[in-house]
Amino acid sequence: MIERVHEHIISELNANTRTDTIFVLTAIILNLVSLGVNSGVASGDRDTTATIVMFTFVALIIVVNFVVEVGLIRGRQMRKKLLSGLLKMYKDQGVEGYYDASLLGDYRTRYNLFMLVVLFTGVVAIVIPFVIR
Amino acid sequence: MSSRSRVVWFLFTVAVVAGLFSPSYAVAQTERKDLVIRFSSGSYLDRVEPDKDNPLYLEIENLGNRAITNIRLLADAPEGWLVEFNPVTIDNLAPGSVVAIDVNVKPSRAATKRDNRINFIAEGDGIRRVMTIWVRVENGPSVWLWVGLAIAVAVIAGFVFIFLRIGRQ
Repeated sequence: MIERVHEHIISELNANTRTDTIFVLTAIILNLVSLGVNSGVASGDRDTTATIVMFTFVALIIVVNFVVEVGLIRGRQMRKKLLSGLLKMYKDQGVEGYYDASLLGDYRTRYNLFMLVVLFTGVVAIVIPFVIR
Repeated sequence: MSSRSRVVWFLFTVAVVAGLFSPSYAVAQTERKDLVIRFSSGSYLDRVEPDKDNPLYLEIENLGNRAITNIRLLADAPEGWLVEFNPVTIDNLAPGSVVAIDVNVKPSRAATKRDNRINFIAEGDGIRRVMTIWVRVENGPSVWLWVGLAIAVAVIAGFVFIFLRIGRQ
């Protein structure tokens, strides 16, 4: 039974990794695409339509980036719980020496860096078109 | 006089009378005042720098068939902008005549980076013409820059708030 639980935890960790990768890539790609579109709009005609398009993309950037941030925070918490259970299982089996508990801290740092990248590209995608305009 | 000569004389008389009293002749004799303001050849202005002289060259032409007197040149520009004409007035502009006008547009120091409308107005006795141009202020502080920065600051604050609120759960 413990093997089944172990497989389940590993499976959850894999799913968690895939989801977080999709979140990060989606946010970065969307931010870069929005940066390009809004920069093009900002350097063109300065009419009401252009302004509406710009603010629509800004709203899209804000919403997607907040969703991704919340998703990454939840993903980090989920990974922490899964790894804690895994560590406990290893401890019970007497093999905890093969898995360094400091990995939990490393994952936290990595998630924070992912969020920083998402935030920074988002801010750039918002500010640059307004500078051009 | 033969009957053939009479016919020729009759047709000639009809043609002359018709020519004298035709509508086109009547219209050509009416007084017509018309004035146009335009850029001088090769001169154009669409970008200006704040607190600096931006020269522009205009022409005024009398397209009518009567002289236009006491032409005054005015400008309707954003508040704080200085628009100077040389000459400011034209006492008499004969039909078909063209007068070159030197214009200097000096936007205010605080002019914002956007499109601004300037109306050049020529007012003479019994006639008024307006020419509108749009100029964009360059190198000025943009309102949109502050809008973008404000949104960015709000987004960063929201990120930090969510990070602290949800991240500690």
